[in-house]
Amino acid sequence: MKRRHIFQMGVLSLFGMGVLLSMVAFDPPGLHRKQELLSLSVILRGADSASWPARQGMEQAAVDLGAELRFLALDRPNHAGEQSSLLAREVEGGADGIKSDMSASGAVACISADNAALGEALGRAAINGVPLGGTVLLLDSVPGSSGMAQRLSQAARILEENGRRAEALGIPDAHDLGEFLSERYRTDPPDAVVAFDSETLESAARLAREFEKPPLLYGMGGTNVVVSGLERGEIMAIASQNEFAAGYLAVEAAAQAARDAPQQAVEPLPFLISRQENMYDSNHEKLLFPVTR
Amino acid sequence: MHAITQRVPDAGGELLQAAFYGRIAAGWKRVRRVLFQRFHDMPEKGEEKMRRLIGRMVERWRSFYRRSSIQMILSLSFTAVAVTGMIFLGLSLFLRFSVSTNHQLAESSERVMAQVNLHLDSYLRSMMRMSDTAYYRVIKRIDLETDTIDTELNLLYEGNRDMLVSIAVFSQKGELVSVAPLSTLKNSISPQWQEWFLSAQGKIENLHFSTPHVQNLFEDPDYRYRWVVSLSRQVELTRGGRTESGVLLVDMNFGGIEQICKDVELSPSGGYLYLIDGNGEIIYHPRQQLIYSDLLEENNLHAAQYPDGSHEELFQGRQRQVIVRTVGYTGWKLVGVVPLDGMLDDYDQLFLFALFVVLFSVFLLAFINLRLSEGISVPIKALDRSVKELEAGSTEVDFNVSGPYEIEHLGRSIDSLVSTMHHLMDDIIEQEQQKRRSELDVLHSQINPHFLYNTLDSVIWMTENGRTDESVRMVTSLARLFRISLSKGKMIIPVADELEHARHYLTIQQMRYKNRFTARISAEDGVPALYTIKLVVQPILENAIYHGMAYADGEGEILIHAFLENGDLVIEVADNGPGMPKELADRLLDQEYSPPGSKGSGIGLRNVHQRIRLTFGEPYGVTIQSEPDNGTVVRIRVPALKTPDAGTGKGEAR
Repeated sequence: MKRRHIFQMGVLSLFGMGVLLSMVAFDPPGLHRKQELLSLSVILRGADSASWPARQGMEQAAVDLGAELRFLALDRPNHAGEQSSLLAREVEGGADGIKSDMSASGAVACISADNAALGEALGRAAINGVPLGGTVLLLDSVPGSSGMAQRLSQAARILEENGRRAEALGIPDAHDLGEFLSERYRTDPPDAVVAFDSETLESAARLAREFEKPPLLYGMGGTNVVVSGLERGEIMAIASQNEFAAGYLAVEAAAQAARDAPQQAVEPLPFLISRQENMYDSNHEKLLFPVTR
Repeated sequence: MHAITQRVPDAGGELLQAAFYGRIAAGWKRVRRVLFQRFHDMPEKGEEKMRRLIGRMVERWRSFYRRSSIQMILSLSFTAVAVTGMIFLGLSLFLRFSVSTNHQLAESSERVMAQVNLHLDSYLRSMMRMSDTAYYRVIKRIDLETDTIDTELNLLYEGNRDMLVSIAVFSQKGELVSVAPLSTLKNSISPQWQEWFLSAQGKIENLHFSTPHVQNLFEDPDYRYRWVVSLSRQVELTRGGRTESGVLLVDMNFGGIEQICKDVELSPSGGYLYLIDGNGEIIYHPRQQLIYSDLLEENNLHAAQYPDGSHEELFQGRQRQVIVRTVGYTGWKLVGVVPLDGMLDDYDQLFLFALFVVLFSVFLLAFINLRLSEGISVPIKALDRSVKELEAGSTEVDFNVSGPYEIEHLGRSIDSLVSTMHHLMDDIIEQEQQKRRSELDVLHSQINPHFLYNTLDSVIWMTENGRTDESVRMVTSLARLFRISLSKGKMIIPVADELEHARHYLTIQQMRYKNRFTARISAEDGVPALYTIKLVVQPILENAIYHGMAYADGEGEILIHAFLENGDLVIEVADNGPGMPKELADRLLDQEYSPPGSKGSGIGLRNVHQRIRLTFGEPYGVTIQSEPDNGTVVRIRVPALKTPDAGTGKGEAR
C-alpha cells in the first residue's frame, strides 16, 4: 500500500474516532452530573438560635449551590471555647466550610446588618417614647461581642445626644436576664429598655407582662414571639433584618470560599424599623413573615 | 431590569427556529461587517478591490484547473457535488428535526400549563363552592338573633381543613359574627379597614380573591402567622327578621396553591411556573422568598402585561420562552418560563455532532472518490506515460492499456499510429541510405572515367612510340590499380591496399611525366593493417601531380606518409610544388567554389572530402595546408578502423 494511502487511512480513522467521541460527547454520561457536594458545618450560637427563615435561606442556598449542611449547636450558648473546639473538630473532619452566626474577625465573609446603623436606628426609635432626661437601659446580652458593642455604643450616643440617659447593662448569662431586670424594674425602673438580639427581646417582653407599668421595650428581632409582642403593643418598635437572605448569603459566601471562587464584597444586610401601625405594610410584612418553602 | 418581549403567534417551534436563524444571521452580519471594515480601511474603493479579488480568485482557479491531473479534478468534482448535496440534506433534516422537537417541547409545556391551570381552576372553584355553601346553605338560612352559625361553619371548616385556614363572618361594622375554627379577634385589628373587607363591599354579589397576605385577624396561642389567600364576598345577614350587610371571609391555606404549582417541570432544560395577580404581584413563585429578599429578580411586572399565549423575552441577558394563561374568576395569571439557552445548548451539541459526521463523511467521500477517480484515470495516466516515453525517443512503447472501452480504443489507435509512424520512418531512413549510396556511387563514378582516360592515353602514347616494356608496366599497374579499386565491391579496404593503389598510380603517372618527380610512400608500423575508405589517396596524388609537379621548378617530390594521430588514421600527401595562397587552400573544399583560371576544379579533393564526411561524419575529412612557393600538404583524416565493418555503422548512423 502506498504511503499516501496509509496517510489517508490514518486521517480517515482519526475522523472516525472524532465522530465516536462526538457521539459520546453528545450525551456524555454524567454531563448533567450535579456539582460535587460541599460539606458545610453551621455552628449555632445558642441551642436554637438560628431562626427558621435563616435555616430556610441556608438550605435554599445549599440546594442551589450543591452543599450539604450540618447544624452544630453549642451546649453553652455563646461559649467561645466550645466554639473554638467545634471549629477545630470540623476542620479536622474535613468540612469544606464553616458558617457561624457570630460575627468573627478574620472570617472570609461576615453577613450582618450594619451594626452601627442598627444601634443608631434603635436609639432614635427609643427617643420618641422617653422624655428628656429619661433613662434608657441598653441590654448587652453578649458582653465582649464587637457587633453587640457597636450597636450598643451607637444607640447610647444617639440617646445621649438627644438628652436621654443611656445605661448599658451587661448580662453574661441569658438565664439571669429575668432576675437582673426584675430587680432593676423594682429598684430603679428605666423609662425604656433596648435589647439588641431577639432572644433577649423575647425575655424582656415576657417579663414586661409581669409588671403593671413596664418600661417601653425596643429591640432587634423578627421571631413570631417578638412580632406578636409588637402587635400586642408590648414592644414599641423592632429592628428586623432579612434572616432568609442572611442565611442564604452566608452559605453562598462559605461555598464560594470552599470552592476557591473569588469572593465578592458582601453588602451589609438591610433592616427595617417596624412598629405596630406599619407591620402589615407590604415590605414589612415580607420581612417579618417570610414565605419559606 | 430590562426586558425585551416579542409576541410569537405559534408556540415553541417557530420561536426556537427564529432564535437559531437569528444566531446564523447575527454571525453573517458580523462577517459582513468585518469584511466591509477591511475593505473600507483600504485606500482603494472596496468595490474595486472586491472585483480584483474575485478576478484573482478566478484566475487562480483556472491555473489550478490547468495544472491539476484528471484524477484530482474528478475527485474534487465528485466530492464537491456529494458534499453539497449532503450538507443540504443534512441541514434540511437538522432544521426539520429541531423544528419538530421544538414543537413537541412547546406543546408539552403548553399541556403542562393547561393541566396546572385546570387544577388551579378546580381548586378555586372548590373554594368558591365552599363560600357558596357557607352563604346559601348556612348564613342565609339562619336568623342570627335566635340561632348561631358556628356549628355549621365549623363543620364546613372541618370538612375542608386541609385547604382552609379559617371561615369567618363579619358584620357591616367589622364585628366578628362567627368564625371557624373558634378564635378570638385580635384587639389591634380593625377588619372593616382591611383590603378584603373593602373589596367585598365594593363588589356586591361578586367574589373577591385577594393577593397572598398574612392572616392577622385571630389570636393564636402559638404565635403563628400564616400566609393566606382570602376569598371574601358581601353577604346578607338576617338578624331578627331584618337583613343587614356583612362579609363572609374564607381564608385559603396558601399551601393548597403551592401544592398545585410546585415541582412542575416544563422542559428538560429546566422550566418553572409562577402565579401573579393582575398587577404582576407575585402570588406563588418557587423561589418567592429569594425574590422578596432581593436575591433574585423575576420579570413578573412585564409578564402581567402579556396576553395569553407564548412569548419570547430577553430577561437579564437570557432568552426565555414565556407561556401565559389567565386563571378564571381571579384575573390571576399563570406564567410558565422555559429558558431557551439550555435548549439551544442541546442544539449546539447536536450541531457539533452533525458537523463531525459531515466532516467524517466528507473525508470518506474524498477517500472513495480518490480511489474511484484513480481507477478511471489510471489507464489515461498510463497512456499519457506511454506518449511521454514516445516523445523521449523510446521505440519500444506499449500502448495497450486496460480500462474503459474509450481508453482502450484510444490506446489501440495510438499504437496503430505509432506503428505506422515507425514504418514510415524506417522507409524514410532506407530511402535516405539508398540516396547516400547513390551519391557515393556517383562520386566513385566521377573518378574512374577521368583517370582511365588519362592512363589509357599514356599507354597508347607509349605503345605508339615502341616503349613496350613501359607500356606493359603501365598496363600492369593499371590492372593492379583497378583490381584494388574494385576490391570485390568493398568500400572499406586495408590501408596497405590503399597505399599499394597509390603506388601503382604514382608508377603510372611517373611514366607519363617521364620521372619528373619522385615519390616515396611510408607508413608507421601497424598502420597498413588498419582500414580506410578506398581511393582516397589517389585523387590527392592526382592534384599534387597536376597542380604541383607540373609546375615545379626543380625535381618534384611527393611524400606519402600514413600514421596515427590522436587515435585517428592520418594519411599525409606532401609535395614541393608551387603551392597556393592560404585563402585558396581554405576554399578548395567548398562545394560552391570554382577556382578561376586554374586547371581543374578541385573536384577530386572535394569528392574525397565528401565521401569521408558522408561515411564518418565530422571531424573527419581532408585538410589542406599550403603557401605559395612552399608546396602543399594534404591530410586525410579517417578513424583508425581495425576491421572493415567498424566504420560502416558510424557512417550510416550519421
